[in-house]
Amino acid sequence: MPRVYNWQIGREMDYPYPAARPKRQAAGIFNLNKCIGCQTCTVACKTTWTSGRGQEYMLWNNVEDKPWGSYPLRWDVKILSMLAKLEPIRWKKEGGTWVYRGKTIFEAAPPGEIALGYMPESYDYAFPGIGEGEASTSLRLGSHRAPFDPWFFFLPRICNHCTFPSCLAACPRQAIYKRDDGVVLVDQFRCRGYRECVKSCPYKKVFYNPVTRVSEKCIFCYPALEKGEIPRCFRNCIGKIRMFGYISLPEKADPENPIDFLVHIKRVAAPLLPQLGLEPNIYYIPPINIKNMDFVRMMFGPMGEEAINNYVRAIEKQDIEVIGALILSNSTDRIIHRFKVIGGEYVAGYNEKGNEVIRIPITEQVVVRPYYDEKLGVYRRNDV
Amino acid sequence: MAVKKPGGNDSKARRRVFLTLAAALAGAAIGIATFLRLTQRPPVEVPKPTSPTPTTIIPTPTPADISASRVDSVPIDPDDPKWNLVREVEFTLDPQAMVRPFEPSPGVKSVKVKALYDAENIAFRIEWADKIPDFGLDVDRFSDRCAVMLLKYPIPDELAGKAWMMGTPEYPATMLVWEARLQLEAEKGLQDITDMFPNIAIDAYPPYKGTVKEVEPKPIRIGEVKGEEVYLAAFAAGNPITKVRLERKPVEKIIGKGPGTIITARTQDANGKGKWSNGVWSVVIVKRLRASDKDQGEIELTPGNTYHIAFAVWEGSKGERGSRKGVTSLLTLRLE
Ligand code: SF4
Ligand code: SF4
Repeated sequence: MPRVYNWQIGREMDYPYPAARPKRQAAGIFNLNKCIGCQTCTVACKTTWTSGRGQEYMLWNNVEDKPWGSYPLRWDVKILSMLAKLEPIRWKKEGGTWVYRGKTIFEAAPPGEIALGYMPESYDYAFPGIGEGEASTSLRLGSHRAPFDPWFFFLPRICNHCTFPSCLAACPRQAIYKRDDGVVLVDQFRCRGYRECVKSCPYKKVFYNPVTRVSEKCIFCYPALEKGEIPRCFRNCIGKIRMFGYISLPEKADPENPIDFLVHIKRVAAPLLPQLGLEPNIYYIPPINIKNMDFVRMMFGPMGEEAINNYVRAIEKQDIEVIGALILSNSTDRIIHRFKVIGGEYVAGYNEKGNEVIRIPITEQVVVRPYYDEKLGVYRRNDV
Repeated sequence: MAVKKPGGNDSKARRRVFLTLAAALAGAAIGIATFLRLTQRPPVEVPKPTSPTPTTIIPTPTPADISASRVDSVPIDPDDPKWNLVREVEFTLDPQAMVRPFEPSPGVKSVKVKALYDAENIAFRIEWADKIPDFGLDVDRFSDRCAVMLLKYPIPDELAGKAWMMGTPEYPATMLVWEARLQLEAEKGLQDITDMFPNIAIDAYPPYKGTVKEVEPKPIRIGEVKGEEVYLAAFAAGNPITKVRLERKPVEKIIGKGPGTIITARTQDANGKGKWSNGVWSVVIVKRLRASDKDQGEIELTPGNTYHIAFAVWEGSKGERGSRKGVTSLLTLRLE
């Protein structure tokens, strides 16, 4: 089997195809500290792409409460326990880089399989909101005991448009392909509904449509990307937690590219379950309120724990560049390729051609409106 | 009517030699043995592709594994009495294990086959035991299927192993795949979400106005409202399988030039019928002798000639689909 270099696990690994990195890789950063679990992203996606027959159960974008929720049911626990049964999940720091010393899902593939995986049951998709509010209400009221302190956070998830997608690797028909911009698609003309992709995507982000009998997945709103616009779930995010952009390899990180800057240079964001070996391209700023660091390491690898520290430090130090880059998150519908802090007060984002598409103040401006407006001779009250 | 398995009395001596050889190979290296088994596939009960026909009720002068006799018109119903006159041959099914992913222990262990032809068509009757019929009507369910693969004869030994894997560019394979779900849809129309989940509650599907419940007792079916294809991506993309379904054909004619290359042939003129009863699937697959898609690589059959043939069965309840299947070795077919 060919060997490919996966920078997220700091080593080479087995993959059924030789490495073929796209010209550029579409990526996203989700700041979990700001997600309010409003599901606007879920609805934005649902109404755009999955309102047809056979798509009723599909959520290309879903938001689950962690650690209690999951969609489809126990997707993360299942694949992690399958993997951990074979070999402990171990990371080692070697020369400043975290190296994963366990097996990826490709390396752990049973005989006859391309990757370690399982086929979810129909029932597993029936509870997208399971665990919602568990930690906050019932636990506090003492309804039951839990192995964790009652903390939680929202985890919005979409397809990771992985660099080494297992959905693509497992398709015996090569009906899944990765575009020049890194977007992973299921060819609706070629697919014959074998569902090998459903079985082998550990994130369970390919779905089978039982009406068309073909598999479907998140398309990263590529028609929008081609127009220089960000995807729907990014664009509609109420919490402004989502930044879309293109990520480089760590050695080619461009400090002016906000994604490179936050992931590679400031290291405040980490991928989801990097130990599985897919090099997923949605990066998360883990929530700083998690009390259980084992959980952080499990979900985001050891880089996740470092990301929390780096993020907290950046905010405490008021690192103007980190803050500037972060507040650009879906501040405009346009894709930001470069950013710059201007005069310590403003941050500007530029499109691919280098034209400024957004400029916002770093410190939110405060306008105090007097209780009595002398000019208009009226009282302003918000208590009625 | 008696059922005779290949590898009967008159091939015992050859079998003994072969078994000795197989034992030696297995002792030497399991890996190599597996590889040989996969490429040459001489299982105990099935003769080598070129071996002569075993004992039959009506002795035939040809050495083919399956001989198709000529009739006035071929029956499409598996229960047609014409089939009672035909000799049945049983073949073992082994895992397809050349291409990942595969099922190391397929659910169906053997198939019984009969063949007839007339001036225009050839018909195969395929039968296998299956306790539960599967139609694949949910995200975690898979349909039962069977297929006949036809290839030119003879194929040079060095290419036979490759050609057995759904053809090669020089020896394209014509495959006729019958599927339980397609059978159901041929009889009852496209299986919709309301057929799979009768109690489903949906506010509305674009571009409809009312809810699914409101249009009862007759739920709106796919294709009844203009503009819905946009919301059914595979239909909008013109996926060939959707065309086969819309034409209500239980059998799909496919051309293959190797694993992962199969295409749905342009002209869907194959047909068939499958019935399940008492734990047995009986399926008839009918194909025209003349190739209507010759340019795509479809095989043309002429009376008096021999062809390579192989069969595959997918057991839906075992999650078999695509490359996870049970297959026979590369056999021969003769049109008497
Ligand atoms: S997250 Fe799953 S569906 Fe998306 S690219 Fe990766 S393997 Fe494929
Ligand atoms: S729209 Fe934004 S804030 Fe709301 S749930 Fe989605 S990611 Fe979280």
